[in-house]
Amino acid sequence: MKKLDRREFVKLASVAGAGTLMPDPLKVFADAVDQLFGKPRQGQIEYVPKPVANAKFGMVIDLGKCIGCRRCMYACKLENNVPDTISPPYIMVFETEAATGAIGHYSSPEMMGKGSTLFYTKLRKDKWYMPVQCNHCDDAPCVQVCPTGASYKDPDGLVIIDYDKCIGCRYCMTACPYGARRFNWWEPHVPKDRINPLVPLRRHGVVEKCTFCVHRTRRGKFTRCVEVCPNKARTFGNFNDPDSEVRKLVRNERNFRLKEVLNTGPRIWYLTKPKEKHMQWYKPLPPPTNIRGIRQ
Amino acid sequence: MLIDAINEIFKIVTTGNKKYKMWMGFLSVLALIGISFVFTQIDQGLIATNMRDQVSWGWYIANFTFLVGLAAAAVVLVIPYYIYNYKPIGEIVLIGEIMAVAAVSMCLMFILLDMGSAERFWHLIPYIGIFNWPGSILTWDVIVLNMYLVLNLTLVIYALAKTYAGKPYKTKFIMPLIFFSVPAAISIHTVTAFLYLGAPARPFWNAAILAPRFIASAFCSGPAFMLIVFQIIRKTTKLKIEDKALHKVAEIVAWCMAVNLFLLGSEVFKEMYSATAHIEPFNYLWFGLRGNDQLVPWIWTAVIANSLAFLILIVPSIRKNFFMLNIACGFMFYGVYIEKGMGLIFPGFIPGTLGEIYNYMPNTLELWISLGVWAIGLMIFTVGAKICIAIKTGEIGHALEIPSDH
Repeated sequence: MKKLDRREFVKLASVAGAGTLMPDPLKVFADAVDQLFGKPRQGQIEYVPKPVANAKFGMVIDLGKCIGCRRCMYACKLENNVPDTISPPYIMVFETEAATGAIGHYSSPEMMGKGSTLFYTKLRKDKWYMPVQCNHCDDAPCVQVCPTGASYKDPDGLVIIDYDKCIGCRYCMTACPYGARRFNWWEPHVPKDRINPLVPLRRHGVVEKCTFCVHRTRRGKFTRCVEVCPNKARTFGNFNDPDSEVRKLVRNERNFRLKEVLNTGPRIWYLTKPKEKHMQWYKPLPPPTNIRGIRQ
Repeated sequence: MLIDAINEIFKIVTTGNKKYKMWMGFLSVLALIGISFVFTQIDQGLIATNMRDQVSWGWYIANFTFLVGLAAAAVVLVIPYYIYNYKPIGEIVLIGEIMAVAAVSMCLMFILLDMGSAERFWHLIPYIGIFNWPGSILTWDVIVLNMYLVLNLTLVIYALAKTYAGKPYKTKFIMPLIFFSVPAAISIHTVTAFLYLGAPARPFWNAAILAPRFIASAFCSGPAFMLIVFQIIRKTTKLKIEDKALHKVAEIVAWCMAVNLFLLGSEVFKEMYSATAHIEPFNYLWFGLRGNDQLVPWIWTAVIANSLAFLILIVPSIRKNFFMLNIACGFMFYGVYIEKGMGLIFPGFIPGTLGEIYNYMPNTLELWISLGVWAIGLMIFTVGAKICIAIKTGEIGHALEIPSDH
């Protein structure tokens, strides 16, 4: 073997270094094909069914009934293959002083009350609990600002992310007024026994959020959070259907939407009339890991 | 002819006096350290930075914003020389344009580093990718930044090629490009400002004043950098730059800083007088919010630096003193860097849309990577400037044979 002098060593080292950077060529090719043509490969489940014709989906959350048990949060996490590295999960449940939508700790206590907290305190009957998730806005700012069109709004009202097109620029996260979007800072890992085959697994470097369980709602079911709520505080339905529960609730009960003045047209309505809270459904569950100390 | 030219240019780039070699060596070391940290970031993902969901844009975008301003500042030289025919600036316009090229290259590097899926950058190429134009301001930014880069590269290469060959410029070709570079520079700035100001979710940014403030602060930081660089060039090369040129640039910068401080005052009044709930990010930046005050010393030192620089520049006799001028330039560069970087990007996210405070500060990896990018940008600038000066002073090529003053 030729004697390894300094030049040879530097050449070898730089080639080896560059080699560690090289991605698997087959995977890159398959990835590029997915991005260009976007069709499911042979044998792959259709992750995003076709939009339902003439539908306008929306959700109603009754703050009078919500006890803050956070079952919706955990069920959503399991249903949508949300890894532990996405924190908090798609649904955030705030404990607030009043049913006003004033989340966040504003500077004037007389005006806005003492603020709210996302952290898991002992549940109380005199507090209000408010789940916040993606509102699938009619005029979604995240859809408007996405440079590749990875975030798009379908005619049936759902705002969906195409994970193959997302370049991870996070402009949508900057634009969302509701803090609904999550970024995969880590490579996500979901334990094999917890994977739901109907929902795609994401990779590092893409943004994800609540999809109104697109794989369920477009196949005639409810979203998982609506199904799981023990107090029936949540309702999901088609606003174009004249007999739907959601339409009746929004028309007849006192309600508000979050940050309406921004004209984003959110599709989650919150009912404010106090009702009987069935606290017996509350059983303590372990809180998810809080990553990197978020203060309020 | 072309091979000879390339050979000569290569020799200019690779040879030089001790200072040049030490400077390039120092920059190379910084660049290599930065690149090694980039490997770490690619390996671990963006979790290796301090950015999180709550503050999803951080140090890289802060640097990008500042550098867009630096790039646009070449126009501060173009306008007096080409539009008002202020002849003494003639020698230095090209160097300003080379700085614009280096700055835009740094911008593109920072963007690639900040993207979560950087290998998908080709999605942003029109027609080949999936471009959400005209809806997304980011697509406009991609277009105008690349257009500005190509424009400046064309101008520089054309001018240097003609000078090398000993021929005067063809005015019909170059003048439209130069006139176009003025709105192009304004556009890269305005579009970048629109990126922020168009987001209704972030009340700290959602104000029309952001666009004029960007321009005002860009016209301070860019020329501040250039003034120092020109003095270094005067001392280390044969290029003759008249004092008058530098004084004129300093004068323009003084008024730009006046506008910048006035716009800042206007923002302060609006926030503190109206005192709506949207004052929270402003309070976080200037006074600290609920005990979180890590940005407060940075912004106060920045605004004091800017004000002192303004006071130095506003008095002509002090401004003409090069020692004081350099102090003012240093102050301005620091002041605008903090104001547009940390002072703009971080408070936009703190407190977040749902009231959360995440005290973001860049970590070691981000700082080393950004130093590496700056080093690469400065290397591009040094090499470009060296070639430009060598050609203009006639060290290589036939510059001295050009018949008339152009």
